[in-house]
Amino acid sequence: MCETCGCSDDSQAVLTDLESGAVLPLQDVAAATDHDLARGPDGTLVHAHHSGRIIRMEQELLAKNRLLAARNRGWLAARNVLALNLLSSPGAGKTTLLERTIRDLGGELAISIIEGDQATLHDARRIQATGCKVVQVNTGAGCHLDADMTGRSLRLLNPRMDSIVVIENVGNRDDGGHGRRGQAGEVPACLSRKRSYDPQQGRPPSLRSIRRRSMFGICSTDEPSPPGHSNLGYAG
Amino acid sequence: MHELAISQEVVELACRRARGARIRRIVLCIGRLSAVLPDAVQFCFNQCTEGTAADGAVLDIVEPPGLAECRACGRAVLLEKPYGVCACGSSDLDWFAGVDLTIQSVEVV
Repeated sequence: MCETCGCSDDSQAVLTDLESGAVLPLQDVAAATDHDLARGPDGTLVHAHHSGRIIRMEQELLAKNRLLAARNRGWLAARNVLALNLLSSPGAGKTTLLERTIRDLGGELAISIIEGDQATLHDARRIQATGCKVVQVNTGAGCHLDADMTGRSLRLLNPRMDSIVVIENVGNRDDGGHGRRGQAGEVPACLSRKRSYDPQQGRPPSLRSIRRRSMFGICSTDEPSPPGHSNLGYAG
Repeated sequence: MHELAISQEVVELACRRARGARIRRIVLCIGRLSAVLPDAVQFCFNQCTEGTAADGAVLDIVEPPGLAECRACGRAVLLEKPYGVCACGSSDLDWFAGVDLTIQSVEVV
């Protein structure tokens, strides 16, 4: 019997004419189709119409990333560090939001930053100017930070116990979600003012890539919210 | 943009699993909520297979739809894209299917 679908050469298929009651064997028909079986190199029977051996894999492509993300979660939990993934389209105002947050809350909260950009140290320098601890990841031809980059950045940043780490991700609308780097929450920011709001480039982030419960939507007051979302939705 | 890396990973994992055998077909599952573009993966695939055991192989992509549970009313919501709104009006959805990014099988000669 074929191990792919259960078909067999000696299937004894028959055709019945219900009016006459005649039963016709269908072996000849079956043999004429390409549905016969061949023996694969390892001895298993396979479909001749596949004419090759089927290897079942069911292998998750992001399994390794998922493992690394879990490791990051453990690393953060052990230090009681809250990690937030800040994501939005380019030019939306992620760095501006961070600068202001650090200025306003830096005295009360220990915050450190992982800056993600494809190139340049510009954003990291802006954060550094606030006096905050920061490391910059440049992803080059890649777009977003994965769990491995995040893990290595965390170890380099070495945030202190009981603190907050904000990962400023590479501006992109689709790649950021799914908790793929082990953070606790996601903060899609949408602070664009009219001058930097380019309808092609700087669209308000659709919140579509976000599915975790621990998420805070931050939108500007001078832009309409993305459809279906309140200005401050999803808290906790 | 991440599709090139995904195609490379597909070819690498499939070749490793085929242990030197010539690959004729790879079946890849890309859920509709995975934020991966099947067309782009398909486009990159041919570039990635050059000179490998999967050179000339066909990439079959299956795209299972997304399913979510509405956190407001508990209804199941069918999603064809990584966003959507429940019949009750809420967009607070808990995805539970269609996020797959999996190599299902490899056919070797």
